[in-house]
Amino acid sequence: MLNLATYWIYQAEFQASAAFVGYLLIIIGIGVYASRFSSQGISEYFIGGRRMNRYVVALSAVVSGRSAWLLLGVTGMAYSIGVQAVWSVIGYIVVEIALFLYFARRLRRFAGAKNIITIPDFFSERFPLHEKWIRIVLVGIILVFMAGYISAQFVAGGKAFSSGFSIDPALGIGITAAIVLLYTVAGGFLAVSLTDVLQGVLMLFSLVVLPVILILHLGGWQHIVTELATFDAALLDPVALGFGALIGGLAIGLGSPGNPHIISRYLSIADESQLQTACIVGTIWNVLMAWGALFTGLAGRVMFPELASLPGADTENLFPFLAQQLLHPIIFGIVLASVFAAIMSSADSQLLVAASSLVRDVAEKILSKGQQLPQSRLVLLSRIVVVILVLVSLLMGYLAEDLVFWLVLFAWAGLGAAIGPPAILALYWKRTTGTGVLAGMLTGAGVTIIWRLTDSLRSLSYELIPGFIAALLVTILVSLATSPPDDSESHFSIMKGDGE
Amino acid sequence: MSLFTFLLFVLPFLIIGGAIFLVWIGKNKDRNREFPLQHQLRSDKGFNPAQERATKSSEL
Repeated sequence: MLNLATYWIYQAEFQASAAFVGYLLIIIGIGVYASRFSSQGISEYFIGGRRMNRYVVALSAVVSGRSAWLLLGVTGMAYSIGVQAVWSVIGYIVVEIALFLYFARRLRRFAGAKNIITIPDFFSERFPLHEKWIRIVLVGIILVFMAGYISAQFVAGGKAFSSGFSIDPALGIGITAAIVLLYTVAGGFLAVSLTDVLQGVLMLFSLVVLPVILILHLGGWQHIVTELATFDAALLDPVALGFGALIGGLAIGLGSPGNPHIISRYLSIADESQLQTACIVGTIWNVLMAWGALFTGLAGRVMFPELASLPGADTENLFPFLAQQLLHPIIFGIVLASVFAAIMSSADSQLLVAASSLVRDVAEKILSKGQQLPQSRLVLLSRIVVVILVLVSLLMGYLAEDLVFWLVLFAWAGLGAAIGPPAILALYWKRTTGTGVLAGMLTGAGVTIIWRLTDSLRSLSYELIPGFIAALLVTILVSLATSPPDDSESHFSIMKGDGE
Repeated sequence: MSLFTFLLFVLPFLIIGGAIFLVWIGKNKDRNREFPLQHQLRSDKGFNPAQERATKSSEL
């Protein structure tokens, strides 16, 4: 009998591992497939030659922004605080609708007209008199915040490997980094975008299948609500933690317009009119994934009422643990792959953004001083920079495994506060000046860091809120105090699509 | 209907519906920008479909 049980466990582990390895082989295959296209030049390597279609951009923009936070963090949050977790997803979903429909269209029109590849490129073309300083400041901000962000994705991958396959976390970190490195170095933006599509499908599959099976397993939704009410009525109260928590949750959405790994997706679409379909597809994906995570957390609380019954008494283990308990081993392997999909889809996009800043903005635009460098040399340099960035992030992940997670919290906030308000104003307010934008960027980054490091301030609100407001105000005030730019009219004519 | 039910079961459909509505408005706006004459004809009292078809074919 014991032998039969042991055989079954090995069989289940083998099936789950086979499904997972199958996923890894597919994404590495995509990297190899995309490598020829990406070798043509840095426009192809960093933004897919601006030839991505609406569905690829929709899913790529949505899943790049979510990371493991949605699968592990939001499910854990709904488990702990109940329905109040909904506020943390509403904000970014609504903001991203506006980004697809309005922000992205103007950005894409301007990018097409001015051959813009990176976000620093956009600001430099918009404010050419301040090009050098804008590139230096923005590259600094992107590298500071992105390094921790990428390390944290690798550390999350290591933990997921450890809990899913009982592998040493340090080895898991290395394997995650190696896989992301392989397909990103070879295939660049095309590989990252195509793998994002596969990863988006896997994430949606897991976040729909798991809660449905879980709710049926527990005897229906009404039974779950009754059980939750008996544990703690606050789990069913959307405002139990007060108005401040509600605003803090909604404010997460303020980060979306400033995170370059999300907005660089909009630069890659073949035609700006396709952004409308991309908006609908992206929103459906965002909503289904977010509500799937919420239902999983709420029903998971009924399945495991005591925190101690979760591995490591950690709410972030709820999602994979539920999948292991409830699903067929092959489906469990796919769900586990979806956790990695979430991690990798963010890490690869962040890696490309950081590499593009160094190659395009530093090597090509600042150091070469206007000299034309051969595209083949720039692509080679891009690949070398990706390898170096992976090694640096890997080192950070090993040296500061516990520290990197708090870096993630303010990486989203720091990028959102430093880049978001200047980008919105540069696209919508003709009076915005280069000096105003520079002041706003430095203020957004500075306020976020100071707020995060000061205990008394941190307890007041999420650092993104004061950082975003301060950057917005400073950009406006400094712009008003400096001379208006001469070329705003022509820039706005391009951004509005006049004369098309 | 409680806020709990609204947030979990109505809001997701409202968000998707809202996005589709905004896209529909945007597409109409784009169409009016591409064919301003047709838009003007529609808003005139004496809207003439035959004339609009003739305008469209001449534009094409």
